Amino acid sequence: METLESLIHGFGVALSLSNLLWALIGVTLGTVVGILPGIGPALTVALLLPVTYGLDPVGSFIMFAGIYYGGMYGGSTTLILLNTPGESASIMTAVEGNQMARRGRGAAALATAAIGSFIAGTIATAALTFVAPAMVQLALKFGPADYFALMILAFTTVTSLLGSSVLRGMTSLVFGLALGLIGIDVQTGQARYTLGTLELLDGISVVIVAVGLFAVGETFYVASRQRKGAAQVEPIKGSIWMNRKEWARSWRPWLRGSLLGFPFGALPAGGAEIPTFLSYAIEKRLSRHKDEFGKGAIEGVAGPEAANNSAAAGVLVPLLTLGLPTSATAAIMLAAFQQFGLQPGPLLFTREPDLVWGLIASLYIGNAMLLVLNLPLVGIWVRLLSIPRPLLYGGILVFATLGTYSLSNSVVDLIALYVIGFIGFLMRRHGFPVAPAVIGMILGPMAESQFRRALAISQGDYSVFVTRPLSLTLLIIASLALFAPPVLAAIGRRRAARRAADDAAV
Amino acid sequence: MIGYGAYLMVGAGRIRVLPVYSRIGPRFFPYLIATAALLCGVLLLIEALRGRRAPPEAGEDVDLTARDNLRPVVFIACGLALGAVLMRPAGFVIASTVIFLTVAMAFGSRHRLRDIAVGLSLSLVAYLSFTRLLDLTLPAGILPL
Repeated sequence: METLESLIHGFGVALSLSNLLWALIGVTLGTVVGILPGIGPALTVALLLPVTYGLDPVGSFIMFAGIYYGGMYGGSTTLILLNTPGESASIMTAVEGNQMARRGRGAAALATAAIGSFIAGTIATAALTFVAPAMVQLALKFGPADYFALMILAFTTVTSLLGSSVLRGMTSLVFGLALGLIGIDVQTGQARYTLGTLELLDGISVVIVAVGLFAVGETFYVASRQRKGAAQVEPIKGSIWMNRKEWARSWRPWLRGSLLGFPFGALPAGGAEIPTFLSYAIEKRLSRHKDEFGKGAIEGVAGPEAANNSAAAGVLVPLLTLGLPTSATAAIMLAAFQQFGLQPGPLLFTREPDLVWGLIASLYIGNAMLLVLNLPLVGIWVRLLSIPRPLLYGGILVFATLGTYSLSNSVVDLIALYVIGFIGFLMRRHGFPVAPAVIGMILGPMAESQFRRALAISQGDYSVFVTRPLSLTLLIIASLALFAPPVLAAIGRRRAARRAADDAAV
Repeated sequence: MIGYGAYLMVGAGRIRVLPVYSRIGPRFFPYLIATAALLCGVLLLIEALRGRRAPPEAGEDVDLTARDNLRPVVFIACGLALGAVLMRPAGFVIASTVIFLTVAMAFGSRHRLRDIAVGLSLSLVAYLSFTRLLDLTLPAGILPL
């Protein structure tokens, strides 16, 4: 009941005129950046950080959350309508949605994605509303050692889930951790890795790293492999109101996707990729229209889209209750909290109820706004897809430069931005995921201070991490996340080899 | 071979990340991270020597079948450097128009006039809204703004 009261209070905050306006700006911006190739919600929030410095934190976070949710909705529109062979294999929605668009059912694909996203977003936000207070109760019992173990777990899941290999994810994470070391050591005041310069004493701003890796790196990379001629945008055909059969085939996948996505997002298990993939596999198995999969099955759009959105909402649980980001956007949002002098975690719920509950209430509102923005108005947004690429990427770099320069009016920052951008280009080119670097950079200093706090409490006894049951459990799961996949793969290979040998013998 | 060179660079860049301070407290974590970095560097090197290469990242605007072309990358890099140099003396609007134009050219745009017009108006709008509406300062440079 207490939760409901808080939520009603939150709606009171979120329904104020200015906060509704922030939510509307957020979801609109989010839809736009979700649709535009080359930029995403993480980058947008990072670019807005310097701008929101002087604004009200509640309004800023309502806007950021709108961008976060809006990016998910907009992203699916691009996947469905943009015909980009080669890229699609990784994202299931794209395969089915694009096929549907080509067969003249693009509007239905967009509709099932948008309605599915709305249903999943609402279910997951409701789950967030009730899971978060319970998590807070649990989190209040956490000691520094437990927090450290939790962060190690987040590190390992993030590296093993993102990108093409654990080793590459790890390398990216370590790069981020090393960047996080730069600057004055908080606990002793020692300068670290500043190369003797004053500019680096404050550390490198996460804005620079995120904008460099995402915007500048992406621009370099796309420039190096330009498509000849513009990518083809499928026209939206058919009615946006799905017919009876399409509804019948969509609602179960929506619900299954929602239920699948949230727990994966809420666990520190790194984002939406696994539930999206699982949802696709499940829908394919359960469908009565198996033959349509790969050729435009509506279930293959409805399920994964719902799972994707639901997981995105789930990610907010560890972010708000534990201060633990498990995706790049969440990491930037954590940086935003730090900018306002707020520390997400169990205490945030008691210290800043307006912010937390206003934010959660605004998620319900934002979802409803997004449904309107993305269903009847989708035609307007689709035109964004035909912006000429030279102008699009030119604009991205102008805003990257603007956002970075306005941090502290320093040309050194700009040079750092461009250098990091070039590193981002090399990382993309050689298959290193960039998200772990951003997460590592934000979480690294936090992990270090929890680690040292734990050791200070235990008076230098390292066994503190393995004698506390919670911390030990988390560390065991972390090592499993890191080592289980390669071991399982090796066993699988051996079995396959043996079977092949058996077959040969027969 | 290019991949191999980049891995070496990552590895070598990592090796130099060795900490140089005295006290135990602030040193422990850097040592830990440097060790992890070294380990990653070595493992990457082994993978590279075995001839295993990762696929380049896919993206919405990326054509993986195209041969990668470094000329636009170098071109953009020069544009960015020029923009950074021009920022203080010439002002934000000119510097960012230069950046916009070089990126557009690197992406194969042939509409020079349109690009200049769009870049200039974009920079101008950004400049005005930042300085007038958000009270942030940007260098005005030589333009009478």
